[in-house]
Amino acid sequence: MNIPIIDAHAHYGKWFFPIYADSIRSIKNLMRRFNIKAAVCSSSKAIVYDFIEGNRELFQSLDPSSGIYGYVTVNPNYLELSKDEIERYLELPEFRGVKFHTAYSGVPIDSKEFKYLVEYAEPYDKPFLLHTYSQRDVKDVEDLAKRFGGIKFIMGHMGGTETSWTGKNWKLAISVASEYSNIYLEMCMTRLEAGKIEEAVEKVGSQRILYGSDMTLLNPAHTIGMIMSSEINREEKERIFYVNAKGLFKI
Amino acid sequence: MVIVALKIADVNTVFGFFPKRNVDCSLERLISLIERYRISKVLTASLKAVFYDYVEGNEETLKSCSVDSRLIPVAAVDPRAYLGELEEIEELKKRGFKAVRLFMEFQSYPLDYAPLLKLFKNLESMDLPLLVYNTGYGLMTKIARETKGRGYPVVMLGCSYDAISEFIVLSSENPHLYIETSLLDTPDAFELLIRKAGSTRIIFGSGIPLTYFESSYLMVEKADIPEGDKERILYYNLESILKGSL
Repeated sequence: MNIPIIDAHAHYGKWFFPIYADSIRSIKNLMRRFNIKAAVCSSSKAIVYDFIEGNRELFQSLDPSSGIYGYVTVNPNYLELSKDEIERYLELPEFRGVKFHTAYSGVPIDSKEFKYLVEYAEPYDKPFLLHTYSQRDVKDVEDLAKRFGGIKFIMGHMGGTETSWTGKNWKLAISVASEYSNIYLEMCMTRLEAGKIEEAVEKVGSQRILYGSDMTLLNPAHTIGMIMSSEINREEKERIFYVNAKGLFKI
Repeated sequence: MVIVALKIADVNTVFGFFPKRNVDCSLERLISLIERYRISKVLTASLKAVFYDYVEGNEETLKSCSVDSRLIPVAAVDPRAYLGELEEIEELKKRGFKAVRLFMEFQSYPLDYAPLLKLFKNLESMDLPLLVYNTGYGLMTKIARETKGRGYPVVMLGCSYDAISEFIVLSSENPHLYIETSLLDTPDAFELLIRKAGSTRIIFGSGIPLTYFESSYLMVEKADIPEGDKERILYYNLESILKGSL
């Protein structure tokens, strides 16, 4: 694999599954193995448990000289503390965006609390990575993109997949992203259904699609293999793997 | 495109028409992927057997496999229509099917279901591997319990990060249980499984043409494991459970 990669969806920390490649050293090993030049990571602890402790540990581990950057995670259940986290970290060069996970916090993307935080973070001019794994999540991102036209939103998992095998979620994500120039698609997930990259490139264009691995939960090989297999040209692959993220995160 | 250097047998492929979204699953598409990635053998079943009529679909599988030696026929059995007859299963083996596959992920019947339990029993004397897609926590545990001691291997397909601990715990007490690779997507899944269960219990599968082949292949190819283990996973473990029928 000689195409360099920037990983727009990575994590640092443990998961409640048997995964032992979760240290910074492991992340660096994976980056070397897969030619990943930079990875923008959020803390798994911040997502699934304590966002303040998780953000702090992440900050202590970030290493831009090795290409390891961060997302500051917010939890709208703790509005004032989330504002503090944005203030504490978002202007630092180590942090390149904001991460929000609707499922673990139990707060919808469309909530007034999260919208308040989006508005609060707007002056920092950094993108939001949003976990999207349902049609509702996708529609909520559409509403955000409409209201906050100056902010860039990344649909993590591209709407996700579901047990029906219909691809309805990611098809809706593609349709929504095709309408809003401030929405980017990031495509990591476990079940990688054939045809979705080609459809995304055809309808959205390769300029707003990002490579994401979901490491340390998932293996970068999984999503790299999907893009390598997809029937798009080399220039489009290079944009997805590297060029788009370089511009978006100003790396 | 990845240049595939190792010999590959894929336990998890299908062909036919996919009604749930517009994706090319034709036999021609499957064969084009086999050629593109130089896959030596694929176990395959017709989607007609999954979504319409398994008897008619199995006929299509046999017919398609008879004209291309890279295609190894897998019989689908749909318990919603299966009347529990042993002769029917014996006939599948006589006619050349090399494995039996359940499609619980599309057919939505429960595990505690008389026709399915009868099938588990009827497979006892057939010596045909059973392929089952893992649909969630606990299914593998129940499948292992229901098939233990019956004398045929069971390959659990579609196992992701949420199935690894279940497989490892079951593996020592259930030597008939195997895990397929298509969704083994944690960064160190192969290293961990080899350490805890052994490389002989892992069988390569991709899910093509419903998925992207290189997603599955790269996870094996890039794993930090000995080349011999990669060869076993990619080809020889499947050959072993098929007793040389590849």
